[in-house]
Amino acid sequence: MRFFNRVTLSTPESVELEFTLAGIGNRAYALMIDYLIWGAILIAVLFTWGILSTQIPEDIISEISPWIFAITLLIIFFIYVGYFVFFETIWQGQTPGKRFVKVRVIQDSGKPIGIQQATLRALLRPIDDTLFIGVLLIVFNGKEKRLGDLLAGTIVVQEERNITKDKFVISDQAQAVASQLLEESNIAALLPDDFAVIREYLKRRREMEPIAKLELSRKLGKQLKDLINLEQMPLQVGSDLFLEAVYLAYQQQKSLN
Amino acid sequence: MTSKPLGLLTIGNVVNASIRLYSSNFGRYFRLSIFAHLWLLVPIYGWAKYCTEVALISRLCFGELTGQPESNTEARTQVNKKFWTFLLLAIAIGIRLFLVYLGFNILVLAIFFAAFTIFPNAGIVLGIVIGLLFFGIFIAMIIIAVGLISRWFVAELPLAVETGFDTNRSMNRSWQLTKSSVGRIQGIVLVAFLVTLPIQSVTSVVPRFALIALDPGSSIYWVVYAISLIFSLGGGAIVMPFWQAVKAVIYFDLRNRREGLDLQLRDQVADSADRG
Repeated sequence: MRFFNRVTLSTPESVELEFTLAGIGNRAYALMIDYLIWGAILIAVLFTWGILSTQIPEDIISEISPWIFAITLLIIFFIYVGYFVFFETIWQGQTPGKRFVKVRVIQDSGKPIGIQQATLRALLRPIDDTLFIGVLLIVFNGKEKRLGDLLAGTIVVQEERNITKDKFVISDQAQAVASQLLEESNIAALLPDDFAVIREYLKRRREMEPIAKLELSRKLGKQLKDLINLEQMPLQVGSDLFLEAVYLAYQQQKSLN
Repeated sequence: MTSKPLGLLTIGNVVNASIRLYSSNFGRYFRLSIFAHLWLLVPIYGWAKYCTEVALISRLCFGELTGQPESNTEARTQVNKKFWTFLLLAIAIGIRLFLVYLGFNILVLAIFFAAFTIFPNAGIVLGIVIGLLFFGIFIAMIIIAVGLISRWFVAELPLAVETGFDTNRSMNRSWQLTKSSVGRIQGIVLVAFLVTLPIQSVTSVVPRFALIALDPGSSIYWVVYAISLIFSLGGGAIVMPFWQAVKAVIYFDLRNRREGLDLQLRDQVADSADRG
């Protein structure tokens, strides 16, 4: 079972880009945040407008009151459309909500969207919101396009995770053990998948429950020992340190080749 | 099983994965859900049966997530071993929440009587102060209740998928796993609720409006009433497996975060079966 919809786009330079589509969960989450911010802006503007319109003298107001009503409607409309157009244009397909949730609107071709696409999407948003048409379209079509996306030729994708954020700390003793492993064991027997598991463990270990963490690191350590044909575990080395050392040794072995 | 491990999931992706889990097994889960809801009409035994079938769906979901899918019969043999436990778990959580509610009510009454015995001739100022105080207590009660519900949100999962668990251990396990994830769980529940709105609006809100428009004494009113009852039962039957999928995905994700359940080296697929 594939849990997320993915699309592959080929650029004119025939580079293939793979994206994970945002999905209804992320889009509903982003929209909820946007509507909260948008609602706050709207209330602030209408409040100001209400105060301003009371400054109009009594005798004129009866003549122009339909105009005031019309202007109010226009303000609501411009804030509604303007919010999405403004942010999606200056932030290349992101609104505050989308930025928080880490999704982005891009063109079908993979290019960033411009003001035309942002406007089309924003103008069709009220129709998509009516009777949940947009939700149903996103859930039931493979490319997760609502009416606005269909017309503007856009898709909403998840932003790839920022790799620099995934950094983790490795203890100082690990390097000595790593050098030892490079000499005494066959680190080259590890596959990239094994390495990925070790890296993922080191990344997540701080959030783990102590007992579960110890159990897991011991188990992984034992398995790794067999995989790299290590005769016996280095003395005085805990399973956590051993995994750090394997991680370093694998990297260094790769860069040697 | 997924070709690639899911990794740790964001709020939106928990909801996405749950929808995919349900829609890929729609016929199977929905059928289980309809029969489970019919059991609700039978007192006591039927309620226990309902709770067990609900847990069964979450077990099936969890099996898909860990790449060890089960048939309905296989999974049912396992959950039926704890047949009454699931109802007991629901009661245990219900009683605790009720006690919290009761405690707050007693607190409010105590403050009320204390204030008016100490200041029998108090004026409007005291009234306002007490009003604000009650409002604060009300907010505190909501926050505590929502917090407790979040901490016990996945309590039926350990009972359904692991061996040797009783209601207390299951609640403790849910409590520990959700320790630093209360905000995330509430976010997930909120987004999941938003996503079910299209279904909810058809099955529960529309019939309500139809009822408002009709004269309560007329025979057509009772016909519409019966239809609306069937609708909301049907709505419950459609939505329930989705919530079970949400719980299973949260439980799976929490175990990945807190225990590294998904961190396995190759060739270890075989022995992972007994980790359930």
